[in-house]
Amino acid sequence: MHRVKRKKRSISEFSASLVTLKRQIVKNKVLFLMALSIMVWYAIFRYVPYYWNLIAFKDYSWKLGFSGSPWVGFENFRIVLNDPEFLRVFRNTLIISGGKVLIGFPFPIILAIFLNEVFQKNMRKSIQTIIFLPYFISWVIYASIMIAMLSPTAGLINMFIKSLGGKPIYFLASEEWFRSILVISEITKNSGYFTVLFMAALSGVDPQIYEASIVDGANMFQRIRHINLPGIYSVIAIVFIVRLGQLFMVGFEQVYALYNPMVYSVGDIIETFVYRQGIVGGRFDYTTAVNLFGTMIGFTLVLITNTVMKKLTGHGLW
Amino acid sequence: MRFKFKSYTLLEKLFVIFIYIFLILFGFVCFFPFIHVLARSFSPEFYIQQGQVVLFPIKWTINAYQKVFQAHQIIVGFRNSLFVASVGTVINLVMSFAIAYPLSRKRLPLRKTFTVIVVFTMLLPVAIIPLYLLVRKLGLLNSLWALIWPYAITTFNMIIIKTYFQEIPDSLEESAILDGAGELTILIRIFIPLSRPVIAAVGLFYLIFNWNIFMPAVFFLTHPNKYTIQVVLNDIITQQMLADMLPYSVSMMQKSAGPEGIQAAVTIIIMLPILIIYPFIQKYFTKGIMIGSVKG
Repeated sequence: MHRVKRKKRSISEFSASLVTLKRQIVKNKVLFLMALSIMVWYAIFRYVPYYWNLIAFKDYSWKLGFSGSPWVGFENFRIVLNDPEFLRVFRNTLIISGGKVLIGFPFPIILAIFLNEVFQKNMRKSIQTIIFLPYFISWVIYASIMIAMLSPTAGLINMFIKSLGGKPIYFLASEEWFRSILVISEITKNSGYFTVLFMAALSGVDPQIYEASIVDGANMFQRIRHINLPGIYSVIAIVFIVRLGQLFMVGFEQVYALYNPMVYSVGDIIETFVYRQGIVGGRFDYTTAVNLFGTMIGFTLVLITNTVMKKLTGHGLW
Repeated sequence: MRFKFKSYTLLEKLFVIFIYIFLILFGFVCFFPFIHVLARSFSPEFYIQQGQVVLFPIKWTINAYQKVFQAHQIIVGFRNSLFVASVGTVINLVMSFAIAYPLSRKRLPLRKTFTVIVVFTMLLPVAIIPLYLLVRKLGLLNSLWALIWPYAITTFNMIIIKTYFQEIPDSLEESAILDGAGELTILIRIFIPLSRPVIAAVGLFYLIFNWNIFMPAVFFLTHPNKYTIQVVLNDIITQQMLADMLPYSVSMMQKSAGPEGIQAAVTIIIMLPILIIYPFIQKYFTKGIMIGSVKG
């Protein structure tokens, strides 16, 4: 008896709120229509592709379309995990991405801490301007610049090696060098962005704490260790978690612009593999499964590191 | 606040010197390749091949630039990139306003629902294969619109505009409504003029994104007539790499046409628009990062 009454009331509340909503919409109809029309864009170009991720569980063919293609459960994932080529690509992705996180993540923190110790404002600004610039250049342009430096026939570095009497090294076609080149170029191109980010965080540290530290006679190292670093812990934690979530996104553009058949064995990553197998090879269902697999691991990593970081430092994404 | 160098102890002084050397070295490593390519683009091929060009051009010439502007494929690439950058950026801004404005108003019905739908797309990136299938289904494959419509809104940029709109006081809008102004009039006459700096910033971000767009071009465009300049440059450097792999004599023959200088010239020309707007964006970008980190 009691339960029915409550149900009735909630229904009447619901219809009442519908009436107010309707009144609000009529009152702000242009505003509402504006938002709604853009939602059409979000539906088509974001939510439809989200939904179509499900072709990873289908035997997709272009003729039958999305709804016509039959479901096959985890069949595509079984093929993925038993494909030696995928395992090689998976390993490459982890090694390259791991290198980028391991070196590329702490490097801008060090740069920001260092830059913060530079007295002259002009010099601080000019170094920041110089190291930030490559971030805005596309990877293709950057690759072109790298080739001008690294080419075995006319690259500046090899000219230098030759003038010293050494043998030219073809860095971009060498299995030993290729991954290191990817990691190093990631650092020289994109460190500036993260440095600016950490600098912004550093400028948010309360100046009164600095003044107090002078009174207490703290030296530079103590200041860095006990004021600067703790002052940006939360930003460091956020950047770290976000980067781990992108562990399976090495960067298609960088690798695609730089790699060549000589280094497929060490340089082929999930994203280039998806391009060759999916777009060139037409295996849409299989490559979507590959992609989904990476996304799921990335998402799980974010969940785990977020929990761990929150326990350890008290900072996290949420 | 800053500290006086004199007041440092010896160890601190040494460390500061190390910091300066380290930063200047890293700055040099970042910047030197740009200067070197610039010098290459103005040098005759022979001196580049000899490795004599380092920081300054030897025997100034604009030969490479002349050749670039005669190459059909490069001109086609430029035309396509200019189209994507101009039309794309206008669409980006119009669409971003059209959603940032309603979302910034508390009187928008279902505001929370709309916000959740939009913000969710920042957390989950869209997978490229399903997007490819969608582009194909819409008949946009091999069309420059494939680089525009799927990227019409970058949610992060839109949120920056929205945050700015939110700070515009309600009183301005209310008096406009009393005067009988419609929503579009309020947006165009009040909100957009008041937020000129943020519009400039976001407009420049979109412009750079559109100019640099590469991965979608590789996935969605296969006909050389539709190639953007980034794809054309990628073809050039791929040929350079392949030529480097051939036996030495053959590769020298291939290179006698002067591709090193041309490659350098194309690289400089594509970089130019970004170099021109870089001083403006740098300032705004730092602000944008600040907004982003406060929100995060």
